[in-house]
Formats: sequence, C-alpha cells, structure tokens
Amino acid sequence: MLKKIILTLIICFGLWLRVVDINKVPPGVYLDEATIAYNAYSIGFFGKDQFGMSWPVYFRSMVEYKTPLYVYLTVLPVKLLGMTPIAIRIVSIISGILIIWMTYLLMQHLFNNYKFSLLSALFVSIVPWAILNSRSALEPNLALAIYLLSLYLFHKGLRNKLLLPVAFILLALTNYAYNAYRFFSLAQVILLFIFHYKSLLKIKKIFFISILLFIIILIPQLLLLTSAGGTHRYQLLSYTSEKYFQANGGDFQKVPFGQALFIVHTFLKKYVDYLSPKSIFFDADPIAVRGIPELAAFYPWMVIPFFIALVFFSKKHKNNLCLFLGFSGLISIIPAGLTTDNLYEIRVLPYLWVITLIVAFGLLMILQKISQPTAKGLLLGFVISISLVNLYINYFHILREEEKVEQSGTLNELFDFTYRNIDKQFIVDLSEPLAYGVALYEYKLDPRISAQMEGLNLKNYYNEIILKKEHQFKNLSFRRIDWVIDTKQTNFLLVGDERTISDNLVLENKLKLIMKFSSSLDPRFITIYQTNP
Amino acid sequence: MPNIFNSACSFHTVCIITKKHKDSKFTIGYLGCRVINELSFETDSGNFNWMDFLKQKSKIILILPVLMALFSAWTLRIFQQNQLLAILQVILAVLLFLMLFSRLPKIFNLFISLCLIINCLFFVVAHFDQDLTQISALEKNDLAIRQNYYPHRLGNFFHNDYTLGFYKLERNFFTNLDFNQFFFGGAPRYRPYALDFDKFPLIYLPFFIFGAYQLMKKAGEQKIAISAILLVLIIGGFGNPDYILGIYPLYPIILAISSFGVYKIYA
Repeated sequence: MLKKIILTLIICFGLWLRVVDINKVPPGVYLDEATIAYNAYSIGFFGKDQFGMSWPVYFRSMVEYKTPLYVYLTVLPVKLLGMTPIAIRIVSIISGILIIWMTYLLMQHLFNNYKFSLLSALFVSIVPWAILNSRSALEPNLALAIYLLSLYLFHKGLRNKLLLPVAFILLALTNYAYNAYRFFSLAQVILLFIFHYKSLLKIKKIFFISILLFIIILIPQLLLLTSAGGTHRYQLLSYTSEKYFQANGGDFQKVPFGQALFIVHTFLKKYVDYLSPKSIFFDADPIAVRGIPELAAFYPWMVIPFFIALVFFSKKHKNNLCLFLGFSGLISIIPAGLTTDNLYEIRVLPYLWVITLIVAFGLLMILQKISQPTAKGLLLGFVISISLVNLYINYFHILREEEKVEQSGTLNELFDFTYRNIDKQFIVDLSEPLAYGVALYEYKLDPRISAQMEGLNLKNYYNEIILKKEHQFKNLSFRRIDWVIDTKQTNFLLVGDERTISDNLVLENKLKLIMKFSSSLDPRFITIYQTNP
Repeated sequence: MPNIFNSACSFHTVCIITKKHKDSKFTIGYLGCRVINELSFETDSGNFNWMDFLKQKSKIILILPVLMALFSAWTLRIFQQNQLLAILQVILAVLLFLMLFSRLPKIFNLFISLCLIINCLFFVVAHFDQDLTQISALEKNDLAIRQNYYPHRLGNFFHNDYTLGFYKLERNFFTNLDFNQFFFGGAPRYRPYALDFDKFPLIYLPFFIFGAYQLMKKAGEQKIAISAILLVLIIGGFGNPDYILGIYPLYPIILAISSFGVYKIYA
C-alpha cells in the first residue's frame, strides 16, 4: 500500500512539473509544434492535412516529412481545446507520465526491488531531459513512452502470452512515432529474441503471430521506403553521401577508401560524444530550443552515483537484464550517430532513460551504505532539492527569457500583432522560411485555403518536398520585398529581420519603424517598417 | 629507472672512494643489478623482487607504452616543442603503466603518483588558466542580463563573479574528463577550445575504454593509482586548456590506460 502511495505521489509530482506554467514555458510555440498543431487541426476538421492529403503515412511539413502518430493523437485535444499550447503538448505530457509509470512497473517486474523502482521513477520524473521533452510537442517522448509500454508488456507476455502480440504491435507503432525508431525497433526485436530465445521458442506460435503483426503494421511505411517521405529525413541529416564527403571529407579525400574511413571516423566521433560524461552531465546544449540553459541532460551531481554504479557493474556484469538494458541504450545511439547533428538528446531518449536507471542504482547503493534513516532522508532530500532549484532557475526563468531569441517566441508575437491589425497589409520577408507555418497556426487559416494556395499534386505528395516560395492570405504576403515597387506604395508594412532589411535600405527608402520584436539577450530581432511615411 | 641508475652510480662512487672493492667486475651495470637485487620488499602477495619482476615483464613494460607513444601525434607535438618534456612524459606513462598492471610495493606506487602530481603542478604553475580569475566585459554583460532573469535576489546568489570562476573551473575539469578530446580533433559538440588536435590515433580508443573498464573493475586494488589520476584531473583544471601542447600531464594517464587495455586484451 505504502509503495502505491509513494508511486502516486511521484506521478503527481511529475505531472505537476510537466504542466505548471505550460502556456508560458517554453515561450511561444515552436515551428515544429505549430506544424503539428495545424495539421492536427486540419485532419480533425476536414480529414485532410494542410496540403489536402487524406490521412497521410508521413506528414509533409514545411521542408521535411514528419512521422504521423503525434499528429493523429493531437487531433482530439485540438478539437476539444482549440489550437492552444496545452492542446498541442498534452500528448507529450501524458507520454511523460506514462514513462514515469512504466519505469516503475518495468523495474519492479524485472528486478523486484521496490526501492530501486521507486527511485528510478522519481528520477525519471525530475531529470532535465524528461522535463524538457514532456513539456514540448516532441515526437521522441511519445515514442519512448510507447517503447517502454511495449517492453513491459513483452516481459509480462513471457508469462501471459496473450500480451506478446500487443507488445509487438506497440513496438511497431514506435516507427510511426519517431524516425529513429525505424532502426531501433528492429534492433529491439533482434535483441529481445537474443536475450529471451529460450522462452520465446516455447511459445513459437504466438511469437510468430506477434512478428507477423509487427510486419503487417510496418507495411504502409515499407511501401514508402524508397520515396522522399521515407528517405528525406535521412538524406537531410546524414553524412554518408558522396556530396557531403566532397564538401567535408578533408584529408580523407586523399587516401584510399577515404569515404568509408570518413564515415567510420565521423560515426565514432559522434557516437563517442554521447558516451562522454561531460556531454550528458555538464554540457548544456548551445542551441536554445534543444536544451535547458546551463543544464545538460542530467544534473551535474548525478555523475557521482553514475560512476559508483558503473564501478559496481564493471565487477558484476553477468546480469542478463542489465546487459539487455545496456545494449538497448547503446543501440539507440546508432541512428543519432549517423546524423550530421552534434549531440542532440531527443534522438537518444532510450539511452538517457538507461543512464537515469544507472544513476538511480548508484544513489541507492550510496543510501544503502548509510545506516541511519535520518541521514538517508537528508541526503535524498538534499539532492532532490538541489535538482529542483536548478530546474526552477534554469528552466522556469532563464529558458523562458532566453528562448524568445529563437524566432518561435518572437514569431508568435509578430503574427499576433499582424492579426490584431487585420486591416493593414504586411509583406513578410524573413530569413526564416518556416515563419509561414507559424502564421498558418496563429491565423488558424482554413486548411482548404492553404491546400489550394499550395496547389500540390497529391500524386507527388511523398516525393515532392519543394515548398512554394510565395504565399498570400488575409493581410499577409510572404515574399521577397521588391525595393523598387513596394517602397513606392503608401502605408505598406514591411516585415523583416536584419538579414532582409538592412539599416542602409531603411535610410535609403525612408522607412518608418513601427514595431520591433526582440529579446534583451540577443541582437537578432524582427522589425516592422512602414513605407512612404 | 633513472633513480635506480643514480643509486648505482652513487654506490660505485662510494666504492671507489673507500677502495673497499678493487675488483674490475664492479662496473656501473653490475652494481646496478646488485642494487636492484638489494631492493626487495615484503608485499601482500609475498616477497617482491625487482630482478624477478623485470625478468618476467621487462619486454611488455618497456615496449608497449613506448611503442604506443611513438604512434601518437601528441608525443610528436610535445617532442617538437621540448624534447626533455616529451621523454619525461613517456617515462611517466611507463611508470604509471607499471603501477596499473602489477602489484608494486606501496612506496613505489606513492612515488609514481607523486611524480604524476608534481608533473601536473609544474604545468599549472607554468600555464595557469588566467581566464579563471578574470572576467571579460562580455561575460560581465551576460552576467548582468542573466541576473535579471532570476526571481528576487537569487540572481546575485547564483550568478556572481565567484560562481562564474567556479563554473569555469568546473568546465576545465570536465573538459579534462572528456576522453573525446584525446582521440578526435575538433569538437563533436561545441568545445571552447578550437585548437585541439587528434592527440592519439582513433585505434587506441577501444583499448583506452577497455583499460578504463579494467581499472574500474579493480578499483579496490588500485586506490592509489585512481586517486592520483583524479588528483591530476582536478589540478589540471587550473591549467590553461588552450595551451598549444594541450594539458600534457594527462598524456601519461591516457597512454598508460590505453597500454593497460592492450596488455589486458593480450593477457
């Protein structure tokens, strides 16, 4: 009973951390979030996405293809709550809670140690990576929640065999939740078989049916395997192409098998970076929307229990379950290591989850060394307090202010302003081409108009990623400013940033500054000028 | 090794002066062996004898870390700048390697640890990271802006000149702990120091990881070695990470652990 009460408290606490001030932190709605919201709105009301495609397997975003599950799950919240931050993020919040719950159930089922299970659940509820991902509409959080659920059902299914097909169905669904799972889920099937082949061969029939279901669910994706929808994301991010090698190969271009060596070298470089304690415990991501300022994926103090647990595992590494979890974590880094991006924590959530378990185990070892219950309580209270203070300052204060510099927050303000001035005509010329997506979201434009505007041939939906450069709806016109014609118009409002509207052009054309959207930290800003004042 | 050599020389000189031994067989080498023979200790595992020890392990002791050092760009970089320093670092690597794979008497372990720490102290004194004590105008500006984001007076408490210094020290320390920088030139993630280079060949990385794993496995037996390594890492945090030769007190550590990994796989 006590365990259940503690678990309930942990889940409630986790929920509170995930919903408090959700409309303000993170500030505004990211470009990705705006696209998800608009597509969910479009599907919910018209059964078609913003380009007019009915129930797509991959959603065409502004410049890429997105996995569909998050969008489909957001349809209902958007219908009920409208296109608000909470509606867009609710799937992620629920996923975050599911991750905490599954962590407890899985650990309890695998290790049957309620102290470890509770501590793991507690840490999953407060670690920065989990908070960050649960408070934004990000697909990897959903994928991790489904993966953990499938893992739990799989282990349950070894005894109650009817659960096994459900586990495999869920594992297949992760493919539709996040791109990296297209590799990871397959690797998981192999890994699960290697570690449990004796038990699985005892229930051959049900295992065969489960695999069959797994494949059947993947069929829509397999049919699009060679289309741009299936490959564009990889092509966009990978370094394995000849073109990339020519541009970045350096000295490798001079040696035989240079490209192969370059790929191996780059892969190892990226992969090892995820293993570095510095990267996961101390380096805050320099790109604002990807991380919490001054906080890495974990709190710095967690490095101590982490190393203690590692020393323990290095001595006693024969436990099959620990090996399985360890391998799963390490395999999940492979897709991330194949991208040009530097350490990007949302791509390796299963790995970060495993590290959280290791940290929890290390702290449990420390606590077990302490004989006095008061001292144990004090230590646990101390580390949790430090963590929460860190989170409060860096996430709820610094991030809120600093993330406005990433144009999303500023774009929200901009289109809110243009919407309030619907009687005036704006020409939007921003260096961020995805601004159009945020405008669709802010204006809640009828998706049928947006589909008509784009005029996409739906036969080429999965193969044509080029977006029209010019769009016009309501009082907005997305296009390059014509400095000869537009500046001669009376009372035209020109929207741009320092790259598209320079100070010289302002002086030359005698433009009048109307509004400036900026952050106190960053010199980047969006300005609105009036022509012919 | 040089200490044993010096002991032999001194013994030889003493012999000549006292003229107790006029026999021609008393050469430096012979005396060296005599001295080594005399240096036997009682250890946990029984009587420790240097001669037996060297007979059994000499090839690996001398060849492995030295050979691995020869293929490292870092060795070359240090050697180009200062030959003596490079030789000293290789000797330290050999000694640390010796310490890792064999159960030397405690006094030798302490001596080797001391050498590593003194080596690091010399580096810190010569190349102290001035950035730790200075705050640039840009940093001051950032500090002032961030302080405003904090609720109430927490800004002053969490973001002041002292905490900034501490963060810098923490950054330096964990940069030293980041083994990526020894095997990959240029940062996979942003690293404040763009001058880093491929210090060791990438092929050493698996050996290093395996060596570190083996060291962790024997953490109980290698307390002195691990403490010395940690101390060097901490003290090294005060050194200038932007120094053209890198944080060279870490060179013996990486080389010794990599050699240890090779030895363990071989063994």
